[in-house]
Amino acid sequence: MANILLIDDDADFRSMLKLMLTRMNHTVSLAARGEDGFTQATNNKFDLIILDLMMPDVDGYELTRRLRAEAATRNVPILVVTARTQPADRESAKEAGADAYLTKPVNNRELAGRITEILAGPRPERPLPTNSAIKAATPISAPVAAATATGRVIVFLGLRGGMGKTTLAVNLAGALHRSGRRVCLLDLSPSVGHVTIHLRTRTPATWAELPANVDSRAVAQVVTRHDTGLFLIAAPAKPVRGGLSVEGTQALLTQLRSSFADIVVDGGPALDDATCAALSVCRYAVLVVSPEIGSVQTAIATLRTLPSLSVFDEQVKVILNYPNHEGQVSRAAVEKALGRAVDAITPFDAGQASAVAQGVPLVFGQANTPLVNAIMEFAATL
Amino acid sequence: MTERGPTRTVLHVDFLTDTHRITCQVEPGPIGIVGTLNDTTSSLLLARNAYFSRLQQPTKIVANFEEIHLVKAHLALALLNRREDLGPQSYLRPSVGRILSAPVYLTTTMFEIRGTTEFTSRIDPDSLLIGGVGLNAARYTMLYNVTVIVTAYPDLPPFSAGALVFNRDFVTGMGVLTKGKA
Repeated sequence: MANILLIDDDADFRSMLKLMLTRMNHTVSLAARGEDGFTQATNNKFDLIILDLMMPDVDGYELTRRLRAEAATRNVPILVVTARTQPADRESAKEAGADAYLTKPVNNRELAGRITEILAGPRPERPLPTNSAIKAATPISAPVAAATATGRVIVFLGLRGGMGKTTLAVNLAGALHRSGRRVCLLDLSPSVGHVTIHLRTRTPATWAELPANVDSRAVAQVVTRHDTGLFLIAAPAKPVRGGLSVEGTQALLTQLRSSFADIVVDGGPALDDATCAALSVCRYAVLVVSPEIGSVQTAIATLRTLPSLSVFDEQVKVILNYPNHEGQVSRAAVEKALGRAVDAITPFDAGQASAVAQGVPLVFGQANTPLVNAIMEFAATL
Repeated sequence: MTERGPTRTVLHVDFLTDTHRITCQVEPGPIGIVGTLNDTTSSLLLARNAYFSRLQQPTKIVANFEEIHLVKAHLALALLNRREDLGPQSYLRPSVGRILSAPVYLTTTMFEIRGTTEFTSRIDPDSLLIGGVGLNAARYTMLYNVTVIVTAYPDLPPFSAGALVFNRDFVTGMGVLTKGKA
């Protein structure tokens, strides 16, 4: 008995195939859209994915490529069942990463035989595609007008170091990605950003390489896709003077907003030009505070400053983060000092150290830990 | 009480125009796809779940629609999986005479086609491509076991099909590969 995900937009065919598979004693999950199927496939463990090539949102070729680029699904067998019968279709599906191919209409015996063959056969370990290969396969979109820039900008602020701001930014980006959103993580730190440490990527192109005129082509050159499926723009590996300009940051964010549903910005360690420019277009400013006096005092001052940067109460979210086992200040005291409730509490997680060492954020590697649950819940409120 | 309606036949068809491949579903009704294409009371053909690709990238889907109207006169070829998909045999075949077959090579404005044609008594190019009576006088006629090369992109994998309906208005030449004697 196998756990099978069936992705097909044809409701009649889904019902028929589900019936056939259920009678073969398989457990079947259904998805009517490519995006939904991708989310289910990456969030659950399946023995086999059956998909159609012709689907209205994401076609089967693209979906197969995306599944093969994900660490969680790169080794899951994919069986294509489609009405496209041409040899070229078969070749393209194989090139995209499909293991087997059947043409509609399928009969029970043929389907059963092929599934048995796939499940009993060897499962070669597929290498994860390189960043450059992925970039080529899933480029960010072509130039579009600023009017279509609709992605949300979520800026993480924590003007006192050591509060776990980058940890939370990376994990929130992961949580949003897991919920099916296309997410780009932007590390704005001019003094050696830490996002690449959390994602354990060799520093690829960074925003420091952007030209004065930031267009979509230039942005595409600095966007890297991580094995987890997150996109990122890294900070330079060495400290730089000044960082991105206001104009450069705004142009960069305009381009990113036209290509991504969410842009999670790990703000700089100060209210520099780039961070202020990001705040000026943000949907949310997430202020990270840890339960110690210095952090709370910095948070109070930051909250007082944000309105002058046109960031108002309804845009501000406060996370009380426990980067260590214990805190000096209670939640009630923090809320009293800030004059507002905190929106989320993220507990200490001993697994964080190994998550950084492995380069896989906790939201991707660990299920149901208190920290992951807190971040997933917080992501759901945005 | 259960009502019984007529059986619906839904065909998956690959239409080729001079610019696009259109993979879609057609409900041809009792006269089959050949009869539907040759039905002169309607210039349009309704198709569902249509996926468009350009001829130079025939597997890359560039657009899709739940419903489309195809202009019959501009459809060059219709590729079908099996010859049974063409429609009722009584409608397609002559009622009398021995059926012979011969492999032929056709060129159209955009395609090179190799396949088999069927006929009674002898091959008649005039009947196959220009004139004819009855079904043979219609714009669309059939070939079997075909491969189709897009002339402008000969390195692409050829299309293949158990049955092909071609638009005679697009044909520029025909060669008989072997004289058709059974």
